[in-house]
Amino acid sequence: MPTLKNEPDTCREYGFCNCLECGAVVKKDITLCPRCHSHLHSRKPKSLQKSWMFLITSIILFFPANLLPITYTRTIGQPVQVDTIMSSILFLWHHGSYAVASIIFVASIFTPFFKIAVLLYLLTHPAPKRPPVIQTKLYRFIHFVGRWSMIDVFVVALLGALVQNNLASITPGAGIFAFAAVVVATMFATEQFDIRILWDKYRDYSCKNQS
Amino acid sequence: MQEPIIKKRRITFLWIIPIIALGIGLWLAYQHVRNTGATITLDFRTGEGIVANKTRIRYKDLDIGVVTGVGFSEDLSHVIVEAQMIANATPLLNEDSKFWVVKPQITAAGVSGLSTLISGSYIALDPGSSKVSRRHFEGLQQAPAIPLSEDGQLVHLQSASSAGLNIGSPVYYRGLKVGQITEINYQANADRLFINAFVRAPYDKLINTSTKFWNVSGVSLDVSTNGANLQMESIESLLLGGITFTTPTTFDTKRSSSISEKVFTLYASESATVQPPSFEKQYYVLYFDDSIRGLNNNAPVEFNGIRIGQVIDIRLLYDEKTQKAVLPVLVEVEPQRIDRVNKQEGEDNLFADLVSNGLRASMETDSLITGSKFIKLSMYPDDPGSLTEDRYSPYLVMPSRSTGISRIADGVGEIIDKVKKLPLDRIADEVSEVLGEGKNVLAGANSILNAPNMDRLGTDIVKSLEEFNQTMKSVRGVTQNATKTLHTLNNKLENVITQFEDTLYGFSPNSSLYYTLQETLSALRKTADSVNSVATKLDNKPNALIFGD
Repeated sequence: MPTLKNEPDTCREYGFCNCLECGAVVKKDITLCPRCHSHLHSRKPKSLQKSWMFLITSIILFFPANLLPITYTRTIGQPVQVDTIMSSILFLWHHGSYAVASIIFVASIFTPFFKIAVLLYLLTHPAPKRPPVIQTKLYRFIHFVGRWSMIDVFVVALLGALVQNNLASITPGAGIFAFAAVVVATMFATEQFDIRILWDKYRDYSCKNQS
Repeated sequence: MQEPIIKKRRITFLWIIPIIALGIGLWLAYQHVRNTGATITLDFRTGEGIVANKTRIRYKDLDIGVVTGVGFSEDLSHVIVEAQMIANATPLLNEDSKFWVVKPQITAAGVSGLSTLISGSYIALDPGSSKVSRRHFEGLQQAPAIPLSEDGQLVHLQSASSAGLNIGSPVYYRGLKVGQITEINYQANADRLFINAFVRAPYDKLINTSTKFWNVSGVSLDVSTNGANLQMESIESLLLGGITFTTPTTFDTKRSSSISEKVFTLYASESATVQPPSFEKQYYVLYFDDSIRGLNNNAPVEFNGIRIGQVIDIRLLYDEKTQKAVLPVLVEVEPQRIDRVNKQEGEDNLFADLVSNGLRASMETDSLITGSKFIKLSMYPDDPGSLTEDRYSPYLVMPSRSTGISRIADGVGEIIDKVKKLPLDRIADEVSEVLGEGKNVLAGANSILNAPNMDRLGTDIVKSLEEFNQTMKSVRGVTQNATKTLHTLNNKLENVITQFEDTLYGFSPNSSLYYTLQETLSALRKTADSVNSVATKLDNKPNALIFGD
């Protein structure tokens, strides 16, 4: 990569920054965006710290989300059926709905876990020695996929709203709230993370090595 | 250009979010742990009606747990049920808690568990009073008849038969239902039934160690010379069976002992309660030399007139080795019928002890009309014996004595021996010797009378008379001997006759044996008479032996 020690390479080094809200490129020495009047920051402020914070929140909530019941199904003449995410996936799998079971597994168990794992990796390796291309791709992927994890929450919300009669009723359990919180927290953590920090660190590293 | 005031905050206040999340997470975990009670395991003989995640555990008709798994024990002998209890149920899980599967039941005693027809069976719990917590329980086969929480007394009964009784059969006191039978078990080693019955408070105070229990199941009909007596406790007892009890005032030294440990006897009827209970049985073999005609199974074994057992088997064996027929008689005796007082340590077998002190069995005639016999046990202190191993069976042999008839035969044989041994030859010899001497004397007298010189006659006669006197003396000695012998003989015969007469009472006058014996007896009497007359004659006239009448 053609990077030289004393030649400016990034927007910041040229003395500009772009507004994080409206994207306008402005001179670095002013504090308010002349277009949208929001505060100007060259990088997301306290990015790593906030990302860590949300990541830890999501890790904490990941346990109740998977261990606590997400639905209570009451059917007449039957005891209350209590389901966690995993038990409902297994239930679907045992009843032959392999596709549905796989989708819910990927959306509700694999994806949050993958997001948490990727964020942990990005936050614990902030100073890459090679251009952080893979890290950027992973970041973009988890940023994109985050919103789809809410599929389980939607299912429970729909079932809880629709199945409410004398023969059967479905009530959401504490697990589904924890799960929604996990998804939200991981989305915030992703949002707060500034991938440009990795590039800055890489540039600092390579300049230091060239000198 | 205005310099913005930038607050330099190192740490964002948003860190409160993960702390809140942690708090919520911990609270949820705490809630979960608090709501989750103990996991228990139950052993059941069958898994009938138990379904994982469906079958509930209920107490006072409320769910307190759910079965989470049903599986086999390692050796497949029983079913292990795992259940998750709710947190509130933990105090109910203690040492004496009872679990059983509630199924619909329709019995004579009532209908129960109908609700399980719709909802499926459930596991019911009866908590005990113990403070010791427990997580593994043995499931009961059926519901306990009496809730553990009910006040009362459990009494243990033993019985030879449970005729008419069932679990749930009532216990009556003066016709009032005061409890019920909770358990009936058969114990093979004792060959009897053990019955547990629960008597509710306050009626349990009526029971002490001298209480007598008896079976009032069904109907009892007594027909006697006083008329017929039909007894029935109630229609319910006719259908369900039942037991009742009374506590008589008796001399009972053991009254202080606890009734919860005592095993009472359940008598078959009220009249049977006066009999001492007897369950321990011992078996002995008896051998008799003579015919055991008239001895039957169930013939009584009496000890000095008190029945303590019975004959249970009579066999005829032929021993090919000794070429003899033997008749073993197996008797069953109940040592508990003999109350043992001043018991010494170490005496474990009463009969071994008795036999070594002279206990003998003999066969005696019981009934003159039927000719039936019984076994008589009596003490003969001058004849100690011992129990010996039987050659043909695993039982011990109790020594026996011959019966009345054979004793007479023995006596007669003895007399004949005595008669045989009488020194008749010697008496005859002595008599002939005496006679020879007498002849000599007479010859001497003759020669004197014929002698020409009669002057010496006087002195010769005197001499001869003196000699004759001496002879007579010896004759008298001989006759006295004979008289003595005859007297003894006479006494012997008289004994035999008395014994004979005793024995004859035991024979029916129509039997041939009776007739023969009668003849023998009269012959013996004749013999005795003649011996007697001889003896009298000799007494009166000792020289009758020499000179005749």
